[in-house]
Amino acid sequence: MSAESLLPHHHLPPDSLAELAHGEGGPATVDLLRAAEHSRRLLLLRMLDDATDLGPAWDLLSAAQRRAPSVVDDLLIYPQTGMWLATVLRRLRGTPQQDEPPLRAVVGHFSALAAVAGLRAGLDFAIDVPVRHGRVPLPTLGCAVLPTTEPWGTATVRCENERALVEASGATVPVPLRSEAAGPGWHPARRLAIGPPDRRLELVLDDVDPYRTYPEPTEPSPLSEEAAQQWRQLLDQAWTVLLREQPGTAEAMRGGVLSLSPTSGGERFRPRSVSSADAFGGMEASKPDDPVELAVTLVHEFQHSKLGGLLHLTPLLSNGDADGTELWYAPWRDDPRPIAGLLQGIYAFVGVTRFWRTHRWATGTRSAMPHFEFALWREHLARAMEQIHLHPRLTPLGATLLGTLRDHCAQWLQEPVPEAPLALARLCAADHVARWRAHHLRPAKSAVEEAVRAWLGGADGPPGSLAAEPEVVPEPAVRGLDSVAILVRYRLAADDDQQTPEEPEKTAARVAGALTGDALLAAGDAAAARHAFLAHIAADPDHPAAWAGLGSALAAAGTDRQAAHILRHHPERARSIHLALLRTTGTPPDPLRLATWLGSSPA
Amino acid sequence: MEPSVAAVESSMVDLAGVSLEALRSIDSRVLAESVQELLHGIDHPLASVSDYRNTDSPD
Repeated sequence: MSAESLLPHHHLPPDSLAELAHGEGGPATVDLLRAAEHSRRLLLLRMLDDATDLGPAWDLLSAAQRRAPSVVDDLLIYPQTGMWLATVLRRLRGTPQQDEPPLRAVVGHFSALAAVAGLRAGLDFAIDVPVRHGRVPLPTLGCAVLPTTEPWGTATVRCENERALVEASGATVPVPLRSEAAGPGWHPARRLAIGPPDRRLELVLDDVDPYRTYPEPTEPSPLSEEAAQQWRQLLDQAWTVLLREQPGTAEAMRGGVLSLSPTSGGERFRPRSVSSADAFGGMEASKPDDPVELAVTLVHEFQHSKLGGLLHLTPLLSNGDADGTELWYAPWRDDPRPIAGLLQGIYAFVGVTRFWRTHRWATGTRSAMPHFEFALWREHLARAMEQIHLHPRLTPLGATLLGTLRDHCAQWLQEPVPEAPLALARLCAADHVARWRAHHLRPAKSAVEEAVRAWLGGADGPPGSLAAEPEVVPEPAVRGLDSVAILVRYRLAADDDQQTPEEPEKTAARVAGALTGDALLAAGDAAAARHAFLAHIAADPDHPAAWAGLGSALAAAGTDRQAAHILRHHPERARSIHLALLRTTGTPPDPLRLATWLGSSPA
Repeated sequence: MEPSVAAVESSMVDLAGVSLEALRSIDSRVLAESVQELLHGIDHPLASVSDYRNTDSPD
C-alpha cells in the first residue's frame, strides 16, 4: 500500500459521469468537479512552496485562513489563481524560457493574493507586492495606479484598523474595503450578481488580474464605467435567456462560471472567447453582438470547464504510442487539430448545438437564423465525431462519452428543420470541409506527377494513385474558412430586419478572409459565384478557397456534376495538379476541364 | 440501452478541510502520485486552452 493511499481520493459516481457523458452535468456534479479543482490548487501551491521561497506571504495567507477560511477558499478557486499557479510552475520548470515579466514579479503575485486575503479577513499587516507598469493588481479586489515609470517594482500593501493603503514611489492609494467605488488611484474589480436572488449568477467582471487572459498573462486594462455597464446589461439579458431556455445548465453554471474577462478581437458573427483547464470557471470573451451570442459563449466555455475538470480526474485518451502528430478536421477551426483539441471542441459544440435546438423554438420569432445554427452545428458535430469515435487512444470512458454524444447527434440529425435554413447549413458545412481540405491536404507527390503525365498524355481519366489518402500539411496562416457561414448570417440578419441586402462585394469586404464569390454564394446567386471563383483562380491559381468555393457554386447551380463532385470532396487534387501543370507547361489548364477530368473514372 | 459508466476513482488526493499549515507539513511521499500527475499537465500546457471559432491560440 502506498503512503498516498492513506488519504481519501476524489471520486466521481456513475450518475455524475453519465451526466457528463451526455454533455450535461447538474449542480451536484459541478460541485464535485469544483471540489477537485480546490484540491488541485492546494497541490499546486504545495509544489510551488517546495520549489521556491514564498516569503511572509504564506504566513499571511495562513493567518487569513484561520480568521476567515471561506475568504481563502474563494481566492484559491478563483480561475486566475489557477492560471497563475500553472504559469509560475511552468516558469520555474523552464517552460517557457522568458525574461518578462521577471520571475520575482510572477512569484510575487502570491503576495498580492495573500494581501487580498488579509484585507478581506480584516487582519492588520504589511506586505510587499509587485508593481506592474505602475499598476498594483489585487486579485478580485481591484487595482491601484501609482505614479511610476518603472516597468517592474514593489509596493507595500498595509492594513491597520480596517484602513487599507497601497504605498510606493512616494504615493499612497487608499483601498476601499467596504464598497466597490472607484477612488483616487484606485480601480475596483466588479463583482456582478446577475438575475433574480434565488437564481443568481455571481461572477467577477475581471479587467485587472494579470492572469485573466489564457494562457499568456496581460497587464491590467480597466474598463470604463460605460463599457462595464454594457457588459452588465448584456450578461443580464444573456442570463435571462439561459434561465428561460436552459434552466438546468444555468443552475449548474452558478457553481462553475466564476469570472469573465473582456478581451479584444472578434468581428460580427465571429466572437472570440478562450478558456483554460488551468482556470476552471474562467473565460475570456470579446464583446458580443447581442445577448444570445453571449449566452452561447457562456454555454460553450462552461462545457470546456466541465471537460477540463473531468480530465483532471481521469483521462479520456490514453497516451499509448501516440506520437502527437496526428491531426484532424475540426469544423469550428481554421487549423487541423490534435485529437485532444478536437475532443474539447466536440464537447463544447454539443452544448452550443443543444442551445440552438431549444432556442429555435423558444424565441417565437420567424427568424431562420436559429434553425440555420442548429442545422449547421449538428452537421459539423456529426462530421467531427465520425472521424474519431473508434480511435484506439480513447479510454473506455472516452469511448462511452463520445458514443453517447454521437447518439445524441444522430437523434438531432433526424429532427426537422425548415427547408431554406437546412439547405444553407448543408452548403456551409460542405463548403467548410472542402476549404479545409484545399488548404491543408496534399496528394502524394508521385501521384501528382503521374496525374500530370496522364493529363499531358491525353489519358481518359486520372491515375488510381490519386485516390490514396492525402497527407495533412497544415498551412499556419489560414483564416476565414467559415466565411460563407458568416455571410449567410449577414443575409439572414438582413432578412430578420427586413432590410434590402447590400451588394455582395460590400458584404464580402466586411468579413475577414471572404471572397466576392463567397458573398454571391451566400446570397444564392450560384451562377455569379461560379463566374467569380473562376476569375479568382485565373488571377491566383493557388487560391485554395477559390477552388473549394467553385465546387460549392457548381453544386448549388447543378452544373458540371463531375467537376462539382471532385471540387467538393477532393479540391486538394485540383489545386495541386493545376499548379503542377502550370509549373510544367507554363500555361494554366482550364479549371473546369481539369476538374471534370479529375472527377472521371480512373484510367 | 445506454452503456453503463463505472465510477471514477481519481489518483488526486482530496484535500478538503486541509489547512495551509497542515498542507505544508504533509510528507511529500504522501503526495507524490498526485504531484506526478499534475506535473504532466504543467509540462504540456497546450492541451488545456480552448478557443471558440477562429482564433490563433492553441487548444
